[in-house]
Amino acid sequence: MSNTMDCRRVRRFLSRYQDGELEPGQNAAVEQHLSTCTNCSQEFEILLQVTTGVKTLPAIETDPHFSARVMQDILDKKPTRHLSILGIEYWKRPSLLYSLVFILFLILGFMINGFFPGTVEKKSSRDSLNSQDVQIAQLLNESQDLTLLNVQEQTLALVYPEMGTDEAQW
Amino acid sequence: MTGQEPDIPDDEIIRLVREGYSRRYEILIERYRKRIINFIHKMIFDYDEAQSLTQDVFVKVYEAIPHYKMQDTFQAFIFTIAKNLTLNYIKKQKRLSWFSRALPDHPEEKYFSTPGTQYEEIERNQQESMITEGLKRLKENQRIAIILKVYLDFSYNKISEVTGWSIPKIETLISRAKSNLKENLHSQHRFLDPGKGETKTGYTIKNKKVQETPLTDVL
Repeated sequence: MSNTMDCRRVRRFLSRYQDGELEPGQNAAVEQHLSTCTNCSQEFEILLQVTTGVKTLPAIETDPHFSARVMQDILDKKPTRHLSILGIEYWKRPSLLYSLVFILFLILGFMINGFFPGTVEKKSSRDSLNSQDVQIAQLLNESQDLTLLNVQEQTLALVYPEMGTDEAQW
Repeated sequence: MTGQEPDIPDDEIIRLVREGYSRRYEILIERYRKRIINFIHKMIFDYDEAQSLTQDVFVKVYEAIPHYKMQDTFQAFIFTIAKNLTLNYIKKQKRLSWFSRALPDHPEEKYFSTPGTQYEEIERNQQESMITEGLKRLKENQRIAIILKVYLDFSYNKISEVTGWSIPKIETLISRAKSNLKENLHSQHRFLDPGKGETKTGYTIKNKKVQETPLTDVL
C-alpha cells in the first residue's frame, strides 16, 4: 500500500523531475524510487520519449535577407513623434484629441464672433451711427451763420445720401 | 553584424538604439530571430505565417523600445510580444473558421495550415507528424508552456516572466501538456497502425477495454 502511495507521489513529481525543477531532496527521493520501481521508470521512459519527440522537431530558419528586410521596414517608417500635451499621449486616446480640437474651435468661434452671433453687426452699425453724429455736430458748429433750413437740408442729405439734396427738401 | 557578438549585452544595445544608433538593432534581430520563428512556428505550424509574424514581432519590439524597462530581461520582453501576437493570430484564425462554418473534426486544428507547406513537406516522417499533430491538439496555454520549456529550454521562472503565470500554474500546464501529448500520440498510433490489436477507427473503441500498445513501440 505504501509502495502505491509512493508511486502516486512520485508520478506527481515526474514532470518536474524531468524538467529539473525539483528541490535537491525531492530529486534524490524520486531518483531512488525510479531505480527500484519498474512501473514508474517505464512511465518516466514514456515521458522522456514524448519530450524528446518535441525537442527534436526540426528547427526552421528565417529567409536569408530577413534581418535586412526588417531593418529596412523599420527605417522606412520615420520615427513618429506623438502629440503629448500635459503628459497625456493623445495618440493613444484619439477621442480625447477630437474633443480637444472641437473645444478649441468653439473657443475660436466665440472669440471671433463675440459670444452671440449678430454682435458684430450691431457693433458696426453703432460705430457708423456715432461717426454720423460727429459729422452732424461738426456741421452744426461750422454753419452757425447758415439758416436753420440749410442745416436741416444738409443733415437730411447726410442721413439719407441716396436722396438728392433737392429731394430732401420739403 | 552576425548577432553573435557575446560581449554586447542586450540592454547595452537597447541603450544605443535609444541614443539613435538604430542600425544596432540588427544585432538583436540576428540574436533572437531563430528562437522567435521557431517558437511561433511550433505554435501555428505554418512557415509563411511564422515568418510574417516574426517580422511583426521585431517591428513591434522596436516600436516598444521607449517603453522597455532596463530591469526586465529583453528575452522575456521579446517573447511576451511574440506570444501575444501569436495568440492574436490564432484567435483571428479561429474567428475566420467560425464564420466560414467549415469546422473540422477537431476544432483546434482548423486554424493550422493544411499539410503541404514548403517546410512541412520536408518533415514527412511519421514520428514528427505525430508529434506535430499531438501539439496541435493541445490547448494554446499548454502548447505555449511545453514549447517554451521543452523546445526552447526555458526555466519555469523564465516562462513566468514571459507569460505572467504563477509557477504552480506553469507546473500544472506542462504536466498536463505532457500527459495529453502522450494520450494524443497513443490515439494517433491506434488510428495510424491498426495492425496492433486495434481497429482503424481508434476513436470509436474508446469505451471498450482493449489491450493498449506501449507508446515506446511508437516512438
